[in-house]
Amino acid sequence: MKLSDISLKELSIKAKKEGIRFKTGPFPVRLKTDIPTLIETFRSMYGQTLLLGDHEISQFHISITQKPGLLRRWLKPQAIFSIDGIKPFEPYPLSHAFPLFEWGLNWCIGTTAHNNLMLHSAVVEKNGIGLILPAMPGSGKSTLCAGLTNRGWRLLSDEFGIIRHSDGQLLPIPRAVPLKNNSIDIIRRYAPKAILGPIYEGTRKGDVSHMAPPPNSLENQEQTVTPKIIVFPKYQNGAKTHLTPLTKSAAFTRLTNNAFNYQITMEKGFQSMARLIESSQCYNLISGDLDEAVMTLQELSEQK
Amino acid sequence: MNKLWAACPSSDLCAASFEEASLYYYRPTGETHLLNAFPREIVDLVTKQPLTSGTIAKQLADLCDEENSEAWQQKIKEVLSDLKMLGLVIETYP
Repeated sequence: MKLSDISLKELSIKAKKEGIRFKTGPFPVRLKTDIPTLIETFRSMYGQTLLLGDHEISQFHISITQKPGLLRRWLKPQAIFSIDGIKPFEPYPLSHAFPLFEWGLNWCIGTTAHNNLMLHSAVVEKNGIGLILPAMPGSGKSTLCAGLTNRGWRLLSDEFGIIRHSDGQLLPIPRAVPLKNNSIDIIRRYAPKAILGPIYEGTRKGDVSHMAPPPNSLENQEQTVTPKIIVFPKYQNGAKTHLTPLTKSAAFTRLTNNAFNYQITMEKGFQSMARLIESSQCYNLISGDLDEAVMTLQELSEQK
Repeated sequence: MNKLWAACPSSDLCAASFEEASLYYYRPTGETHLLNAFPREIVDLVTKQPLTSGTIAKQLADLCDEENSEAWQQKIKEVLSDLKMLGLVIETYP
């Protein structure tokens, strides 16, 4: 059964009582919440996600609840995130419950899921070619990822490049793409049919709106991909689009610095990283224009 | 007695080589080291057999078409010292 098969009312009751169990990529999650706006946005973003049975085991037990207290309900109401009963973050404004869920789940994955090598990167796929876009915050990674997924690429992830140690395959974990500040309007213009959620103003990353993962990404989230191209993107206002090859040793160094858990995964991480670099073409991409950047990557993938 | 330089035990290392450099995962510390062609050549030489720094300097000078000068020999000693610090080579005696 898909998330969208259940009415909002039923889903809200389920979320409050036993919680909603679903799988995001390889991770089974249970979400409990009493916040109606969170359920509403969650349902609109992940409608095609398959629900898990109530007795299936979850790796992450997440709870996002309204901070109790009569006064608090009326004066600056807040949402509290907890994982297995632990509260790792300060409360957020209640209206920001959905971004709190997204960032909180990312935090759970990034800090505990070390069975695979995890890169901080967007990953997309087209015609069997896995394209990894590792980048630091502010590089335009999410905008480029959203642009590509609106031009026929399958979204594997906007945040995690998950490499399975045993065979080097990329594991999808399709989640909502958080667009920040100017990127919100850029994607609205670039892809008018893309589903964007509410704008959350004044978050720690500025104004944020989430783009829903395309249905085919959610439906194919079990389908792994072979990595073939690694591109380090960098947005520069007004810059002409420029793709340059990167030596494998430089790519290795940059990727190890970019990975969430390279040090923790030790020799397995080294071997997975070496295999990834050995089998991929590596590039730097500087661009000030989304359309040009998308077309450049499209042409690059067609040469493979 | 002349000091010899040898590679660390092969069981301590996991290596990956690309065209312009090599990467070594050093198991005892869990650190990854990136070596460019010059120190990599030294590691390769002492992997075949333990050598004195003088022999290494001469063989590399021949390979690189360099004069085996004092400065060159000093440079080799410095690189050996760096490689020792990383654990990739060890000192030994015949």
